[in-house]
Amino acid sequence: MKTAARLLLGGLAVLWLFGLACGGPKPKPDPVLIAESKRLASQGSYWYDRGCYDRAERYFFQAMETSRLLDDLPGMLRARNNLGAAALGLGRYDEAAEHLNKALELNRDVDSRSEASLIYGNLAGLAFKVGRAGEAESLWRRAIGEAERDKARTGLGLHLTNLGVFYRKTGRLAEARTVLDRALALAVQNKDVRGQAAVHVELGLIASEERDLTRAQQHVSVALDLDKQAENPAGIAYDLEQLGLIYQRKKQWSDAARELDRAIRLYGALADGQAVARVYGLIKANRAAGSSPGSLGPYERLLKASEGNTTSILCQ
Amino acid sequence: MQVSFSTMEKVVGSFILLIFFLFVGSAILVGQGQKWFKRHVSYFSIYKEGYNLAPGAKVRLLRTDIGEVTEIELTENNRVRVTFRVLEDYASRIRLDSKAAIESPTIIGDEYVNILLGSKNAALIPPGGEIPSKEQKKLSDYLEELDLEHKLLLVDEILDHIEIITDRLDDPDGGLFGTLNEVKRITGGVADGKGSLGRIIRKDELYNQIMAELKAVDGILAKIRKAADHTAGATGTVEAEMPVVLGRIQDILGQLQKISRQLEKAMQDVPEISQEARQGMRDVNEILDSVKKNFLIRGNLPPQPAPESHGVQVRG
Repeated sequence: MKTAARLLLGGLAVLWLFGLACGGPKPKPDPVLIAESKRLASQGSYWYDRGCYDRAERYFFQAMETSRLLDDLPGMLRARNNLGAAALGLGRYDEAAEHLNKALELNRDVDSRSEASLIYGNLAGLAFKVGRAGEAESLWRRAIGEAERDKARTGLGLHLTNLGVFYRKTGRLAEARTVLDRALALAVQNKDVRGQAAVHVELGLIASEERDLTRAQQHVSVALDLDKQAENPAGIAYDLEQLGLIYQRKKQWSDAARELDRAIRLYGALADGQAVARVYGLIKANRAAGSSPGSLGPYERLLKASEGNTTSILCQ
Repeated sequence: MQVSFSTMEKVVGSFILLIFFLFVGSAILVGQGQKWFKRHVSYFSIYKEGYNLAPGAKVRLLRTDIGEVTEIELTENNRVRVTFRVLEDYASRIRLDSKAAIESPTIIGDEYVNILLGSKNAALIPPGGEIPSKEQKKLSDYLEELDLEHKLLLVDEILDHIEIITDRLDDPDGGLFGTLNEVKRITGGVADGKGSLGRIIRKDELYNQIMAELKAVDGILAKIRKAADHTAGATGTVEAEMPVVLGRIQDILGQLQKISRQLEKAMQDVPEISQEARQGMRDVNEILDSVKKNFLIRGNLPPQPAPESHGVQVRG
């Protein structure tokens, strides 16, 4: 009797091992593919943070494909949102809308507040860029609402800063200052250096519109220091441009010429043709005021170089 | 009939059973690692040549191993048919517009079959079907990219030019020797009293008249004589140096022929060297793969940064 029981147990053990060998009830995802998917997404984020949107886009696209292979819905959602953000950075608004709407659809299954907050924020940025102000405001408010309900409050500071930009651009300076003060407190609390810089430059622009140029200069100078600390080339160029504008308003022509010269060169390195053209206009105005010595030749060359479809040297 | 076992027999029996279970367990664990128990789907592709591909080579999709090459055979119309099997889980990714390319990590690396994803909307390739192939780049293609052929043509053209120049120099009726013969003929005629100059020299009354008029231009004559001496000296030098120059050109051409023969021999050795390097690369790849999988090493590799979603920062 005992022998029969032992044989039965042995047989059951063998059967169990075979069952285990056949993969069990739930197949495990391929760890190599998971690692590859993570690597692609991280590479995309690396280039996105440096403003290299075309390079980031390629990685995000591959990350989406690997996530699809893994049936990883959160990964696909992240990749879709990031593809939308990259397309927005590249000025391809139709594509951005398509990616972001698909990300929203995916989030119905994933149901993540943090992702919803970022998608609504990006959709708001898109509406703002295409000139649909009312829609942009309501989408940012929705993004802020989602972020406030999220435990990690992902993107809250970013949305508040963007809403501050929107209010300033639409002349609602008091409301802008309120949301920006809140954004600054959050950025300081989270030790988000880039976020702090973005708020400071906006506060500087508000002060400039209120004709308090001393305060404006202080804010923008702080922003410049913070962007340098965060190694944010696009931010540094923007801060230098604003500083140049403030000096122009103060009629400090040579100081303005120095800052605008730095800004246009950095924009040139970033291959931002629109910004180069904008700063070139400011430099010409500065020169017309009579206090900007030197030739416009190098700037004209930069302008010509940035007209073509070039890639930033920082993205190579 | 009652069968009874002694204690020793029971111990030995248990030991044999234990060994058997251990053996079965090990086989199962190894099989699981090697995906013996996973279902595979076979496909095939037709190539112009085998590109050193061997049975057992990996099949990859998005840099992830999804199968292996099972068979390589020559078809009746002198093509190479590569049959491979792919894990059933990934078969749904292989579409009619997918491609199977034979690739290698480097020019001389370990070849594998890389499946290039097709579009989502394309129909699936049925099991056992043909995946359209994409031919591998050959060394000659890389050389073409380097434009080596053009450079060799240039060298060839230069050698042709050298040959034409030496032929011209060597020709007794043309170039240098032709001119020298002409000078010799003219001076011979003058000495024999032929032509205007010869006749003037040969008649005494004319000679005296000319001599009287020429006294005033003695200095000029002296200079002309000096110049003529120089010309004669230079011609002599050219005549003297010419065999040396021709000898050097012959030497150079001899050296070029020697180099060409050595180059030819070296090119014959290239496949052998390439084969050895390929084997070396294969060994190194295998070692690296094993090291990466080792549980002692695996844990100490730096972790990948976590993928993140991005929000657009609005400026301007």
